Amino acid sequence: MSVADLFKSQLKVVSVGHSAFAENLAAAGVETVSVAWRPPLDADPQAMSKLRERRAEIAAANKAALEKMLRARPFLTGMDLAGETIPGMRKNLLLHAGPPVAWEKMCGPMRGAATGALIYEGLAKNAEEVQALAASGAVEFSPCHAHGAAGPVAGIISFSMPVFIVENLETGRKCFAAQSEGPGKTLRYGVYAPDVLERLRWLEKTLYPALKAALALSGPLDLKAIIAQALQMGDELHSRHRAATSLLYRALAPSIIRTCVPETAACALEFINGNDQFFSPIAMSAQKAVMDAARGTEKSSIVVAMAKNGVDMGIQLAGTGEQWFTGPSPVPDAKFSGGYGRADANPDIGDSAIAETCGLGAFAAAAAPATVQFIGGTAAAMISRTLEMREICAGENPDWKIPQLEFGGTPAGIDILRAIEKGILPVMHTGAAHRESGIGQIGAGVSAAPPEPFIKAAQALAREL
Amino acid sequence: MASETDAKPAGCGGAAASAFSLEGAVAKLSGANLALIAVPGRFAAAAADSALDNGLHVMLFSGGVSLSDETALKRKALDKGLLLMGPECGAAVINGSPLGLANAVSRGSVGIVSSSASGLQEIASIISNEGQGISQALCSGGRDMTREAGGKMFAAGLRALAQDERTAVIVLVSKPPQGEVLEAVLEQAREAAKPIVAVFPGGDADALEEEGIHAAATLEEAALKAAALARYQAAAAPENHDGKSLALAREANRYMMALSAAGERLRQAQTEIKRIAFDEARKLHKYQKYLRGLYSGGAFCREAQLLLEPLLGGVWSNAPVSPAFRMKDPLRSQENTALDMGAGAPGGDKPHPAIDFSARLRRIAEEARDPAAAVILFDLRLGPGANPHPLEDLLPAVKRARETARCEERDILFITSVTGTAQDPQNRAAVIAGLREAGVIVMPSNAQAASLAGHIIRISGGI
Repeated sequence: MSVADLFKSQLKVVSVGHSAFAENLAAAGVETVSVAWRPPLDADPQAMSKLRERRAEIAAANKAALEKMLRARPFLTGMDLAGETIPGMRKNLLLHAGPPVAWEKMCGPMRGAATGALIYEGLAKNAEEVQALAASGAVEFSPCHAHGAAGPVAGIISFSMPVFIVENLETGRKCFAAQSEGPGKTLRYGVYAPDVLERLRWLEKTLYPALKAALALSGPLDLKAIIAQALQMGDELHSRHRAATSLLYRALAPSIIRTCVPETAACALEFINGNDQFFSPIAMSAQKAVMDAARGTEKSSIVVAMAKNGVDMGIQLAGTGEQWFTGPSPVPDAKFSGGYGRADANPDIGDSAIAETCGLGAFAAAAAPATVQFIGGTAAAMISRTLEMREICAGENPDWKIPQLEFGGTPAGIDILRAIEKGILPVMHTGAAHRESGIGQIGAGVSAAPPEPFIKAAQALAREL
Repeated sequence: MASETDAKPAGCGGAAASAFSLEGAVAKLSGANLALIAVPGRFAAAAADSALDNGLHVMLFSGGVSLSDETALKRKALDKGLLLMGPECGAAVINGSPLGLANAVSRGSVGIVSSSASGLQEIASIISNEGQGISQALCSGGRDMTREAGGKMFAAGLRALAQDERTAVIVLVSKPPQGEVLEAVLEQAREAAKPIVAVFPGGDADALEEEGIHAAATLEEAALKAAALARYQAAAAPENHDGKSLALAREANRYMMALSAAGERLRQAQTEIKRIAFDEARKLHKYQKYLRGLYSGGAFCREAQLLLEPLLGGVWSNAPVSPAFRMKDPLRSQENTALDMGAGAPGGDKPHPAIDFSARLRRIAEEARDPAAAVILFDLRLGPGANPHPLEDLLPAVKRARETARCEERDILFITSVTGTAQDPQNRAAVIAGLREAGVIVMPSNAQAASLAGHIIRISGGI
């Protein structure tokens, strides 16, 4: 608009910073939108200027990455034992959540979970033996993400654990996740008490064969469709899976009954019914399948993984291969239970932020007002959270709609350049683990990503260009 | 973007709607045409650049922007036919709406291009208080009129006003431009078929008069002349513009009378100032020899120095008119001092002294402890964006300062002028009444306040 036109038009102001100026204008009847300005992240200026110069190429790459994400068709195709199906799986290998971390550096909950898994595998009898075994270097550790898997909280997957197999039918690529253990004391939160190990054996010996047979009979289940429906029913597919679990129950129940003896079928269905998070690992595999579709898109600044090992948070970009960019993992702002507080909480841990990476979880918070009852906050804040996260995404997912936003799509494709320039870091829903091993979950809430991974990723992407 | 559930209906005199980013705001506000940017200095250039990319005119309130960034931003803006006012554009009036620190002024036929916010405010307020009004008031930012920046946005503003149908009279306000910068302004001025009043204090008035530009020595003089010309233009019948020589001669006569009436008012004011100075100087002891000017506005501080120098000799300042009088330590006043309290914020990040009085209030207390101080001179800028409670903040400090002085059996004089209008939320008349009740001498303009202070010191100091 030329200056002459400005003088003849109605003044309409975008006010950035110092909000009193915006309020004065609005009070005087001038149409004004006030931008809640935040300083950009303190990224390397040289890297940023290079990335800005090559913005058109990056935008084209991001568009391609986004299309691959949106075309992905994740289906639950079956189950198998980790040792039989996960590439590179070995008896002495434990997969864990987040970026790589050595035994010596592991946080309490992850050590607890690893201890439980090694006892479960029969490689050690107790914590002392685990300590000796791990210190000897005889046990290897590798991130779930390096093996097509995603693990909640500590995210430990060992050789004998059964896993769901989710396949992107568009590309044939498979993703994996272990079964949900249900509420209460669990291995994923670092508890390795006898009853926890007993439940792991039940999952392997009883539930897994039942589900595997049922899935073989029912055929592949369309997870993109289940997620789309669950969003309409109040799930955000990270902290809340009640709707998706119910939908899965409806889909699987006839096949479970047809393939199992009645008592086994009843136990399996009771377990699913009593575990609102049953769908969680399946959702994570589906979310990972969607994000893996975008992996390897050269020049793309889209985040394909955000994951935490309880010490560090790491991210991976579509355009920078398998490299992890890390920073200190934040302690969650959580609603704590059992008399615990923030001081007791471990820094955030788990691969479940694959939900946010995929535009669900905190990014789809608007769809799930009921989650405020266990993660805290207000329903209005949940809507605001989605709108804010939309600012750092390359697009929207037209297949996953949010009723509360007039059926607008979930945000899709976190773009590190947008995050850096707008100074908006991804927010993630999460559970809070006690910092010591053996105690378990002490709350649920949100955490904000640290800036370092995004700053480092920008530098690496600039080098790639 | 799909829905915007947090949106409130805009433009209904309520609260501003909010967005998380400039792009988000542009998507939300259909037809957005101006970005008002007030962020910490080191982020200001990027924010302004992004606003230009979104096709918005920019008012850049922030300071702390490098010359190279300013040059690049202005080049981009001019290529796109957009205004980039600033950096350090403290005030502007667009389509009648005051922006930033600007006052609520009447709409009218006088257009202003200023390199300083306080200069713009003083002129716009006086014109409004004279019963005339402002078509547009643009502020280029102080550095625009330096040789390095080349006066490009100032000249673009002048061109825009020359072409604007609503603008009948143009006022130019700046430190005296030099060389090519002056030439660029004069070139635009020649093309404008409208009366122009220029106040380039300390500059060459004759050079302007030769170009047919009415030169003014003070902001007040420029405002009164512009108001007179606006009044004249409004009264001039259109048939008198038809080229008939007799009618033209009559018109020219009326035009000159309008201007000389403004001059006469200022001469009368000078007589009155000398009378007041004589009365007030009697309240002072012989050892009280100096004035201390505490300004929030750069143009006010500069104007005061230019008016005081002929009366008192050099005036110390952190923004001196004469380089020899640069203060050694801006935190310690010496002899006669005029301090620009809005200058020299390195990142442009400290609160503006017209909004946050705290630095000035501390300084008032310090000056009052100096037995040699006779007069504390200050500016007071009203407006929707300025301090909403100036009396509540200021008067207790004035009272305490006087008590400090009285303990040592001396008095201290406070002199000010109030830049603002009856439409400003603080209400100029109410503020003036409050100040007078507290014993503060309130003059009609910054120039008159400085002039009065100068005459008082002359008498008291036996100059």
